[in-house]
Amino acid sequence: MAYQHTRSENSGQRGRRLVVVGLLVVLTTVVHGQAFAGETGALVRSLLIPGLGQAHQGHYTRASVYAGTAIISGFGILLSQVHYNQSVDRYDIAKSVYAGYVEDLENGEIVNVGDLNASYDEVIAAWNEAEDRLVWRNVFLVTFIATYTVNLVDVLISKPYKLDPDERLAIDVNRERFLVVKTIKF
Amino acid sequence: MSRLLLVISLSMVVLAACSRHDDPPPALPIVEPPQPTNFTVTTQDSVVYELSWDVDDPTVVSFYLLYSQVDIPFAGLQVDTIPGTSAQVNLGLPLPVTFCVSSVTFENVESLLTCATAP
Repeated sequence: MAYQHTRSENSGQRGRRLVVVGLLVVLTTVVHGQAFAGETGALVRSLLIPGLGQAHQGHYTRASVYAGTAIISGFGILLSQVHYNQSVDRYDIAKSVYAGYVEDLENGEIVNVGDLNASYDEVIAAWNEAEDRLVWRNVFLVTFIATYTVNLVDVLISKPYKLDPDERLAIDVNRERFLVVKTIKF
Repeated sequence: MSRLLLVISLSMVVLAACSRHDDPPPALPIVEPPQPTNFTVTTQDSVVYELSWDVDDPTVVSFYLLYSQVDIPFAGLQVDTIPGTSAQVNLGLPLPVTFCVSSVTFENVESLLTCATAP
C-alpha cells in the first residue's frame, strides 16, 4: 500500500514537471518569436549582448565597438575583482595581526615596538593596495555600464540599415573577363 | 524604456560603489620607547660581566630587558628584568656570550634591541 502511494506521488511529480517544462517551452517560443522579430528584436538582442542589436540592424562597425568594449571591460571587471578580493584578504589578515598586538598590550604583555610598527605599516600598505584595486574595478565597471547604456540608447534611436540602390551587387561582363562589384559602407 | 535604462544604470552604480574593506584602525597612541645606546660590556675573567648603557629619556622607561645568549649548542636565551641602566652578570664559567638590552615603557612597549658581544 505504501509502495503504491509513493509510486503515485512520483508519477504526479513527474506529470507536474512535464507541464512546467512544456509551459516553459511554449513561453520561450512565443517570447522568442515576438521578442526577436523586427525593431524590438534589436533591442532585446542588445539587452542580452551589447552590439548584437546593432549587428541585427546592420551596423556592424558599431556592433564590433560595443561588443569589443563590453568584452574587454567585462574581463577587466572579473580580473580586477579577483585582485581586489586578494588585497582585501591581505588587509583583513594584517588588521587581525595588529589587533592581536593591541590585545597583547591591553593584557599587560610586552610587545616590541618594531613588530607593532611593522604590523601597522602592513595594515596601511594593504589598505592602500585595496583602495587602488577598487578604483580599477570601478573604472572597468563604469566603462561596462556606459557601454551597455550607450548601446541600448543607440539601438533605440538607430534605424535598420537599408541597402542603397547604388550599393547593390553589379556584374560587369567583358569578352575576356567579368567583374563582380560590391560597395560596402560603414 | 527610459525607466528600464535608469533602473539598470542605478543598480550598476550602486554595485560599483560597494566595497568590502573598511577604513584602517587608528594607530595606537604609544610613547616610542628609547633604544639603549652606549652599551658597554666589560669583564676581567670572562665569568663576571659588567654591563652599562644609556637612554635618551629615562623618564618614559619602566624597566629594561637584558638578553644573554651563551654561544654553545643547545644553550637557551636568558631574559632578565633590570630596573636601572647597569647590571652585573655572573655566568659561572668562562663562556663566549652575547648580550642585548632593550627598554620597556610603562605601556609595555619594548624598544629595539642594542647588542654587544663580550670581549
